[in-house]
Amino acid sequence: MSRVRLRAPERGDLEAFMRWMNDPEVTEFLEVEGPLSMDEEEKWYQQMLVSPDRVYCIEAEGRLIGNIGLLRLDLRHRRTDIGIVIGEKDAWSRGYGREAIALLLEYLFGELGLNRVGLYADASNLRAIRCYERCGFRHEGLLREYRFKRGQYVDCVRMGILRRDWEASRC
Amino acid sequence: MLTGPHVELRALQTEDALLMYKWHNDPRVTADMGPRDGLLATSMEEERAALQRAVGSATERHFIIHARDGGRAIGYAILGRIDQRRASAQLTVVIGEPEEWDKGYGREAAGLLVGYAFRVLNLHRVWAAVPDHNERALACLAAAGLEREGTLRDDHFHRGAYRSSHLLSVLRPEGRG
Repeated sequence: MSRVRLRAPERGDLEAFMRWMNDPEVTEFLEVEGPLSMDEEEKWYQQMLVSPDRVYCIEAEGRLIGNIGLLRLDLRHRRTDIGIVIGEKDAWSRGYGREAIALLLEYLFGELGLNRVGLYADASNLRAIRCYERCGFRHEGLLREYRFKRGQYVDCVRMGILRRDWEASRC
Repeated sequence: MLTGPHVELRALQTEDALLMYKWHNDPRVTADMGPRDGLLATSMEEERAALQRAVGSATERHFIIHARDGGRAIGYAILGRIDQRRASAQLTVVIGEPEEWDKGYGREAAGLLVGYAFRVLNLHRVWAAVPDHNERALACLAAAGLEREGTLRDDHFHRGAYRSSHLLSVLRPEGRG
């Protein structure tokens, strides 16, 4: 049985989100440009509620530890990118992220009928890349100096998993 | 532009209001269109408003059908209720010029739109609802590959009695679309 559950984000979760988004250790590999105020979080929340790019809360053993969401969902091409953050640092390195991704893929391939799920990761973010590999994502390319971070350009990797990869990995 | 051997389908534009007005005020055309045929007659004003809604809609694609021989506009075709989550859309084909009936134009237009739905829009299912007494439309859609899957009993009132419609659909042949 999964230790992780995905649920809809409530307004009451924003305080935790804001705490994570203002923690440099958490945002090191994220695209957010902090610091973020509660008002900005609130605005983001309102926009997210009406966007197809839905975000879900990750709960591990009943406790909110992070979130995971869709980016650039395109139903005609049956693809989306995803992004994930485990914001509670004491929940890192326990496989929760991997379980959350597995649950989301189950939904994206099994219910939404997508053909492809992709993501970007900093090339230096080895912990995340290993996690994505275990979830079935494959390396598709290296994007040189894709992101400007802390005063310099850094490389990113492009990864993706196809419906057929996912189906093959499940049996 | 979708091109077949005998017809071309081009995107609807606002200048087409007069064509729609003409076709929608011809009782021969509207007689067996079924429950969506709400009005006795349609004004230019209403046609213009309908076109404004249709042009650029994310859930409807409207086309004008031209006969390639001579280039005359002979009718329209719609993929409506486009639902990407269900990967489905509703097909409507109307040949608005009665003298162009029974020449195979409708079936060709229907086939082109089914192909468009599967190959361009990436849909899985194309469906239609047709009055069970509209033999011409049933034959046209059957020729485009739509199979009868059910009947909506007495779903509209027409010529003094309740009439039924057939539901038809075609699924994308290969695997999951």
